[in-house]
Amino acid sequence: MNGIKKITRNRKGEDMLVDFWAILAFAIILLLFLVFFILSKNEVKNAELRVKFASSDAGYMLNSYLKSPSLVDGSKTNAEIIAEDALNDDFSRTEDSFKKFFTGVEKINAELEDDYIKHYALSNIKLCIYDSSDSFLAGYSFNVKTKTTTDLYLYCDILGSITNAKTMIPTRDSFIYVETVLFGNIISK
Amino acid sequence: MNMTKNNMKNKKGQIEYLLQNAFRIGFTIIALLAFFLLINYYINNKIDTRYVQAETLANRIMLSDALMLQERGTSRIYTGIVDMNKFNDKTSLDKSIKYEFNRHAAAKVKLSKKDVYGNVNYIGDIYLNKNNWDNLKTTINSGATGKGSATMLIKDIPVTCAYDTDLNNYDYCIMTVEVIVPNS
Repeated sequence: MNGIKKITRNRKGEDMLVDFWAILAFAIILLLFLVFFILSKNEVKNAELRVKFASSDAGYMLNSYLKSPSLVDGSKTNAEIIAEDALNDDFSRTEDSFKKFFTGVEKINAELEDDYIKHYALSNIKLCIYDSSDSFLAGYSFNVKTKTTTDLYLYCDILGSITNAKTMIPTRDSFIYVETVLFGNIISK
Repeated sequence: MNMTKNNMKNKKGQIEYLLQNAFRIGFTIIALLAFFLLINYYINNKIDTRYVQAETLANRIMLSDALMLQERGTSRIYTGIVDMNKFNDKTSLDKSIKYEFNRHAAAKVKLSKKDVYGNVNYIGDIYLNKNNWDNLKTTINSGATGKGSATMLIKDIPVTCAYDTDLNNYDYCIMTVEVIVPNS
């Protein structure tokens, strides 16, 4: 006990105080690193994978939508309807076909909700149309939860997500871009 | 240095020396432990491939000619347009995705249709590796985890159901692809 008192009183004792703060700082840094590693190790990789596959799903949905025959005019595909609407500068038929094609997802989601544990659910599907100079022409969003379709005059660019797919449709004079944006996917473990 | 030598000569000196350096020795041990702990964390010697396996199989079903419409002359596949003749033949998936060895993964494709009143009507389903599906689905339903249990991936995608190859008779449907991969 006397030995300890001596140590804390003399110059060596001061050195030990310095050591104490160094150990404390080290312990805090160590803790931070451990938390960082535990949080990031697997989750980051899995999240990256999910985004990549969700983007391929967005591409599939866009492909599926554009190739399908339109319910507005059965002799044409939805891609042709969009191209014609772009020429007429009236996207009402596109909006109609978008609603008819994508509604129905909400019922399936509701059904799955009861059966499986979801990591995250499909919540929103967006269709955004741009001209050849990348200026916004029209956009529609289908909210799976509220089951409503809304126009996206302002939010198509702002709410752009990384889980998206973009393709080009030729028109008479030029071409237009069509983009689908997905929010969510259903994964169960 | 002389002081240390003097201290080491008697018992009291040795105790003082030990007390002075105990923290430093402890600190070095902690630093070494932390170093190896962090290195072990950083080295990824286990890769969880279940999600990739499930996604790959789901994409194979969705993108191949197993269920999708194929143009006769050009063999072009119309992804997103389901050939209902293939879908109604319940062996299409097993015939198309065929392996010589026992396949572990299993899948189910379900089609539903929304009618004019907004009701979703179930059209039908088709299985890949149905025996394994039944076994693995039971483990999922039981909530089992770890080895012997399974992981499930579900996707639902709006598609067109084509009742003929010329697309004269079609409907908008929702395709639900469910894939089960065993945890091994």
